[in-house]
Amino acid sequence: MSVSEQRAQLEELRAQTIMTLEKADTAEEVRQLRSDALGRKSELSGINNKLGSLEPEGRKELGQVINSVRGDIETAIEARLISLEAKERSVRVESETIDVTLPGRAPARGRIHPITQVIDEILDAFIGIGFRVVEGPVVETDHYNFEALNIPTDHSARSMYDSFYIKSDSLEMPLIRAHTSPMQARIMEAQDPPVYVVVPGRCGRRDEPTPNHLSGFTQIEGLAVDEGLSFADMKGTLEVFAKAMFGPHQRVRMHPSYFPFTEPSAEVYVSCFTCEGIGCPTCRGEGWIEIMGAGMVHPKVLRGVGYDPERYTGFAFGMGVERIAKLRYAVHDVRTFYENDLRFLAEF
Amino acid sequence: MKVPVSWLADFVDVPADIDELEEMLTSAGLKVESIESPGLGLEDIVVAKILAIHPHPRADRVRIVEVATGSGQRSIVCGAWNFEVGDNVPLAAPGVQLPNGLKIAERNVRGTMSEGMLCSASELGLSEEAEGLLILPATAVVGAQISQALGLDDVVLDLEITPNRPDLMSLIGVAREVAALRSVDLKIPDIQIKQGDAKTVDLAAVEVVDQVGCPRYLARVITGVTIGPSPLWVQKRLTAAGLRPISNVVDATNYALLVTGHPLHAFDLDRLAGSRIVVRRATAQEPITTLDGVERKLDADDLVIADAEKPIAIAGVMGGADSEVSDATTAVLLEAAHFETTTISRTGRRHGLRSEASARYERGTDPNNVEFASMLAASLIVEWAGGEIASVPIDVYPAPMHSCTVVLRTERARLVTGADYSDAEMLDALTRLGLSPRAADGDGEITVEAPTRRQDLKIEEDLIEEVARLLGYDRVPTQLPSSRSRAAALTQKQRSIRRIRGVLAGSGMFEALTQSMIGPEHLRILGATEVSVLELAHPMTIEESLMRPSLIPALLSAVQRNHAKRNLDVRLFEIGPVFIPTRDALPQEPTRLGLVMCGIQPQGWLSKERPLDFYDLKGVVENLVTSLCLPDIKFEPVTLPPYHATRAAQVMSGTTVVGTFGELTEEVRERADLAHRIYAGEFDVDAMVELSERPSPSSTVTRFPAVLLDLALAVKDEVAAADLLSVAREAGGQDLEQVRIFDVYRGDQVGEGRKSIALSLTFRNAARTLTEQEAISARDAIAAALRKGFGAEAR
Repeated sequence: MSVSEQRAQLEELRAQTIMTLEKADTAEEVRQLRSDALGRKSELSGINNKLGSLEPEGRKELGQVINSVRGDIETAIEARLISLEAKERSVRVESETIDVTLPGRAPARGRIHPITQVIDEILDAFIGIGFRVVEGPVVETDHYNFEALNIPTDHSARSMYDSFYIKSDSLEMPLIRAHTSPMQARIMEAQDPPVYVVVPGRCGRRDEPTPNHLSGFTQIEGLAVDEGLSFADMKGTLEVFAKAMFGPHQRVRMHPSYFPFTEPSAEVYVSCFTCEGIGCPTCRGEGWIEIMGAGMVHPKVLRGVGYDPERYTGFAFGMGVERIAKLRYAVHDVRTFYENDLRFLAEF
Repeated sequence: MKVPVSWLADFVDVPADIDELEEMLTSAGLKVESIESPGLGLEDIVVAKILAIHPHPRADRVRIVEVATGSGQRSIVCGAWNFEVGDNVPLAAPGVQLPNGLKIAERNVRGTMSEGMLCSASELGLSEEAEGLLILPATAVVGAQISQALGLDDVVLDLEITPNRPDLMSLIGVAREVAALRSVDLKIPDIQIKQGDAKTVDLAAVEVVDQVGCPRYLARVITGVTIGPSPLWVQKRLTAAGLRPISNVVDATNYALLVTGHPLHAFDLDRLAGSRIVVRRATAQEPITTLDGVERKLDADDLVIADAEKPIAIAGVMGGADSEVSDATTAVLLEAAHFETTTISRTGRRHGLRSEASARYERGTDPNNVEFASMLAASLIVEWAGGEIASVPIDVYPAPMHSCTVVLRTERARLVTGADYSDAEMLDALTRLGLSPRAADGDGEITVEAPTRRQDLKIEEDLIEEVARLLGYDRVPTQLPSSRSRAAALTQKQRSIRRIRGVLAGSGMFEALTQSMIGPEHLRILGATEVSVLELAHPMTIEESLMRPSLIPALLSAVQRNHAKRNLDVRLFEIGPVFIPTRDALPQEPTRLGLVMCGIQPQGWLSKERPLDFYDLKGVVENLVTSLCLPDIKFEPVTLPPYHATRAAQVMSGTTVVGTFGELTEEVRERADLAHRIYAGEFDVDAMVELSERPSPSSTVTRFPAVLLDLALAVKDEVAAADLLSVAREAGGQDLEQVRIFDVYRGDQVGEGRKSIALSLTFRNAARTLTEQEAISARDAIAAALRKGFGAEAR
């Protein structure tokens, strides 16, 4: 066959292959076509193999044609393949649709109790301003619960703390601490000033449970004793706490009150965190919410543990955790916290 | 303490704006619990007088009533029948809204126009229910607001009085605070009493045997009284202050009590044997019938007022029925005494009695207030009941109490408060409080004579509070403690507990909080009736009468409650103290972790419904011990009530038992009335914290690949997986990185009494790539060791 005939054959091959290619509509067909048209057993390869037997001149000419045909076919196949593969991938993706709104295969998740969460938040706020967290016994002696706090037997203030006493063989019945304040004397006996501590813990009083009170409840006590501490330091400390706990715009206000172990004593109010002081059901229209009792540590308490009240002054405060949790989460009845209904716990 | 504002105004000028008064009292420490104005919402209801009553021509059940309204007449159709012509009744004219929201309009009742509504007490919100119209007093002014006629126009403040301020349990006491706060005068009435010819000592005698319990006893005699009701305005005032009007004489003592804060008591002189008062301790079991009609047996510690024969009152707490003033009384002995606080509070507690009198004596009354109170009461008795006051009262007061000198260093006050109060301001504040302060020039000291009504003022700090209170806590600036650097942190235990909570919540467990107190029923359900527990001396309920020795009982109750509400997938934990009795004064309070699981995991779209089982709980326990990095953990079978004898394990870290968990017995399940198997456990948090180690990665992570091989073996059923694994680990050599059980199979293919256990083995060498052949021979070594140890056949 002449060079020109072979050339025509090659042109024909090119046209033929590209036509077949245009008819192929799956990537698989295109891949087969590539092997048929360009593979070792293809017509193109056959012509190429015979190049060696040609005159140098024809060999060169025909070689160029072969390369051009091969190149064109390769380019066309490649382009076709890319387009078909993209199409097929998109069909496949379409067919693999899942419902992403079905629930995931997550491991079951539990919850940390809301009261614990509130305790942790309060403690963290005080840790941030230099208070250490300590704990003490729930069942206490009369000495630490009352005497050391300037509440001797028959003191009229004992009526504020109707306590659960424990049956005992010993002369003095221990009791469930009526507040976390007993730790004041225990800590001061155990260390020298400065003292900066917060004390979370369970307490109990013989009060009929109501939506606002429990007979078993949680308090957090705070105590700071150092040289030169004043009521102003107490106000500042509690204001920083209130802002950390309830929001940066909180204001704090104090009114005189009475606790046997502090003098002067105060009730501490924060601006209502629901209405920001305008007045709403949370604050019973007052704009202020009472969150704790506080005061300057009574000199008798300091002397009782061997601290010199002329040199050291301090402040103490105590708050009810359930009350704060009740207000924060707008829970109507504090007893709900101890019912442990899973539907309630799952809300937190 | 209920304070009718109009009554308070007798003693001090009060601000017209009640909110201002409230704010002022609150900022001074007199917390206003509530402000009652019972007439609120009734401003538009007026007094109408019935002029005529006609039958309704077309209705039997109602009548047509003509009333005078003060400015005219109205015709009203009324369904009530309890009134007559001339009665005064409440009228709501058309356009008026009743407190219950009902808006009155003219309306046509069967052809007759009704121009308003005549009201009952319940329609006005004054009582729960009422029959017929509210009939107003005959003295009511027609056309005036009914609240005036009913004495409801007063505002009553309910003050919370702190225990240190018994002086504020009186109108004069509260008035004194208001006077100090407003810098206005206190108006104390000047009482003049006309004494008769008879001498008190000729009519009665007083002997105070116990002067410790009764430092002062003042008796007056009033003869020729006529018992009857007290004036209406007095009754209104007493009612507004929360006391029940009784008779003119008793009301006079109560009126004087509220004004002065000092309790008074009137005895029927003719019923006192020997006309004699003896103040003494009771004898044990001595009987008395108190005013409330209860016969009581007295204690030898109780102080009594006796006559020549027997106790006639429990001193300072409650009078006796035998000596009570009655309609027949003509002569009274008026007691004004000062009793010691602890005696009264002990007696009150012992007999469960509390009265207006004891509430004041318990906190401490002022012995020097006795005379004033007695004079006021006596003058009121004569005014309201007639009679004559015998001259020279008997006054037994052998050791008068004096004022207490307290010094305030003004610099100290500034240091403790941090406020910039000036010396002059402090002096002024103490002056306004009536404490007669003296200040020598320039020495910065103010000396106060604290009167006996203010026995709460004993030390310098008390005066600092008075100053700060009066000048206002708002004057104190805010600052933060400056001084030294302080280490603030959680303890290791607190940190570990937070970690435990996080791990458990992340493992599907819900944290529960239960009370520290449980009941015997809780222990009975667990079959733990023999456990030694702390008991409360005076529990409020039997369900909360014991200090919990374990967390499981209350957690079990939480399961019961949840199951009762059909919350069936219950997984709870609690961390907290339990109480273990000791020989010492106080119990041990170890911190425990309690776990409980019971119920079913509900079906999901990817998983089947299945009951919660032992391995659900064990998985949680494994998460717990690994995240705490407890060393050398072993799970050992254990037989221990209340756990199922063959389905419980104790968790060992080294040689320490850190906890036990497992299925609870069938008996517990039956007693708890639960339909599902219960899994529970309790862990010693203190021990776990103690043993918890810092994570120490045991091998460096190498870059060489692992060879993974499986090994399936058949062994006898009773072979424990843990034992199998431990032998496998030993035999696997250095290159065995991990052994994991991935299948356990029982069935025909392995035969009766046997099981197949499939192990997944990971081999890796730290220094080079391990060959497949090396791994296979290590596996063969494991298989051989298991065959030798347990007769395990490779499958």
